[in-house]
Amino acid sequence: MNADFPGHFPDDRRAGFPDELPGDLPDDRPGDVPDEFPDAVSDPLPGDLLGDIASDEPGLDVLLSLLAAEPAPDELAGESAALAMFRSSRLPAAAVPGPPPPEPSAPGPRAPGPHASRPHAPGRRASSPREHSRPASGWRSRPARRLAAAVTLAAAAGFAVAAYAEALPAPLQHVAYGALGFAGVPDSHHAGPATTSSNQTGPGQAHGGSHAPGGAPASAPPPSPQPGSSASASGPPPAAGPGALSVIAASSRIVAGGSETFTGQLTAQGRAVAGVRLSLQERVAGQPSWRPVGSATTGAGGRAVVTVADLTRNAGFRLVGPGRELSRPVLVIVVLPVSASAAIGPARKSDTLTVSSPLASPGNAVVLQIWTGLRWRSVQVSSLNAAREVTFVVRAPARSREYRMVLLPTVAHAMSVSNTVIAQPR
Amino acid sequence: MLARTQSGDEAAFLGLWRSLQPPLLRYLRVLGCDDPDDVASETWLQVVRDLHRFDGDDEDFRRWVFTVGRHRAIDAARARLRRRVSPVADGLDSLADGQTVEDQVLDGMSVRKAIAMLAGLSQDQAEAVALRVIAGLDTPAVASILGKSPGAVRVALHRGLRALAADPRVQALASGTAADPGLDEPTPGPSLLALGGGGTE
Repeated sequence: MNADFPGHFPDDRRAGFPDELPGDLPDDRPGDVPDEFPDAVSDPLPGDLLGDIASDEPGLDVLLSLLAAEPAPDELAGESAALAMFRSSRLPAAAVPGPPPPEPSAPGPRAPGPHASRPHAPGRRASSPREHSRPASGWRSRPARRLAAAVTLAAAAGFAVAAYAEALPAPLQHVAYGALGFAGVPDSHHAGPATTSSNQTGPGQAHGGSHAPGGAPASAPPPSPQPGSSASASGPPPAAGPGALSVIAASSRIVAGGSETFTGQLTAQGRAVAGVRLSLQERVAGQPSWRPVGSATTGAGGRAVVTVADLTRNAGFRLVGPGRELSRPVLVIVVLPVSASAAIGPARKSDTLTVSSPLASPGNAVVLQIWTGLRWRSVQVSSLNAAREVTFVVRAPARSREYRMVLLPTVAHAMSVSNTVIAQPR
Repeated sequence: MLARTQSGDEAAFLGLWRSLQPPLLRYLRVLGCDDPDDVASETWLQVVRDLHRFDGDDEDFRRWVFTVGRHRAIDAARARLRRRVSPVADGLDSLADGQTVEDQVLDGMSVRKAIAMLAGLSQDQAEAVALRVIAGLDTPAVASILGKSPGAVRVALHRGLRALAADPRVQALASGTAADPGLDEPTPGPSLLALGGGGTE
């Protein structure tokens, strides 16, 4: 995001995405939504329309209730990251990442009009805007002060921990990179898996890890914690309270058959507790009870790391302490590998597209999709046979066509998308 | 709460975030974002950055957040069109107390299924219903976000609700026999480009 001053959506759009939208977009300038409809009659809803139609249609009533249902835990999972973002936005200007923020002297309480340009500080020279956007002392020119600013940012916001671990959502990770990139914070890996090279999807979003109790952000721990480091200060999010046990997973989504690393932390009265044996328990989707799958002893920072291998189904994990303390469970979603292939049909007037997912269950639904040039469109649906395969027959195309298959999610696994296959013209 | 947020009160900000983030995510899913969490983060990034300039009441703020979210969704759709990445089902990260794994997964599916059904409407109908039902905005606010007249929004809303009511899958919801979730996942959308007024589909 650049030049993203309120009231300048068109500029922002051009900067990032050269192709123009044919139409004009409504302005998203704060507090300045144009009142285009002064003659609008009073709103008849919900009493008139929503209520009337929904009350006549029980199914619609259920649908609307679902749409407006209470938040699911995953919908509030980014709370701490949002708070960190809010905090960082309130830090001194020098520590705020990204382009120079608008000068405080710019437009008063309301944003400028639609044609107003980015505000300029009085006396700002066009030839050297960057120089004028920095303090005269130039914090960027002094590494020690830069580092101090970065440390301040990390301590104040708890932002950098997740950033170093690439545990932030991509936009926040990018912001963190802008602020702390010089200190080693990686940039976001914004692109998802490519359709042409991947035979499964999902686990690439490693940052979307599990969350500590209370909706704390995924703060994926390093694979091997540094003994002696100030883990309790900069490690995973603090536990919920005195005597609290928490667990986070390195990622919330893994490829079937892979392993997952869980990091637990035990605290008492806010202090890390070392030398305590913690047990990790698992409850697999479809199973009624928890079972132990590993254990570890907390180190100096009160942390214990347990790795579980060969996960093939969605499962919840929790830690149990010696006094039967329980952490809130985290959910790990499993993505099954799916591979697709194409072959010319026997009559040469058709192609057969075969998808295989060896770790799926017979009967799992698979959708065949075709690339229309703009989007993937679902065209057929079928179920895996006993060999965990399904074959779709499509007409031989006049020009090459791209297909892919989507294994639909179940309680046992996430949705998976196959590699793209191409049906060639005869 | 808004004024306290603008003055830097973190608890007030969290209150706003908790009330707006879930409907924002659902709205973005209706729009077909294949990474609604990312788009929501972009939205909040802009909201937090420009918060000090905001002037209005809570309803204005809600309308502004969804306006920003819509724009960021269009940006994301345009970017994705270049990258052509595969969509991935969203993560279900933590288990609520007392829920089993399958409860959690199925609950998520129910809401997602409802969102998918809504996303199956035409773009203007889906957006009108989403902004009205999910975002809780009134008709003039929806109209201003969509750049339409309130009358046009009401028509879209009425037609959308009627279309949903006539959908056999919605009727089946009343008896709990809806079709398999996922079959109608919202196709992530280059169709979002049409929101700007000139999509090709």
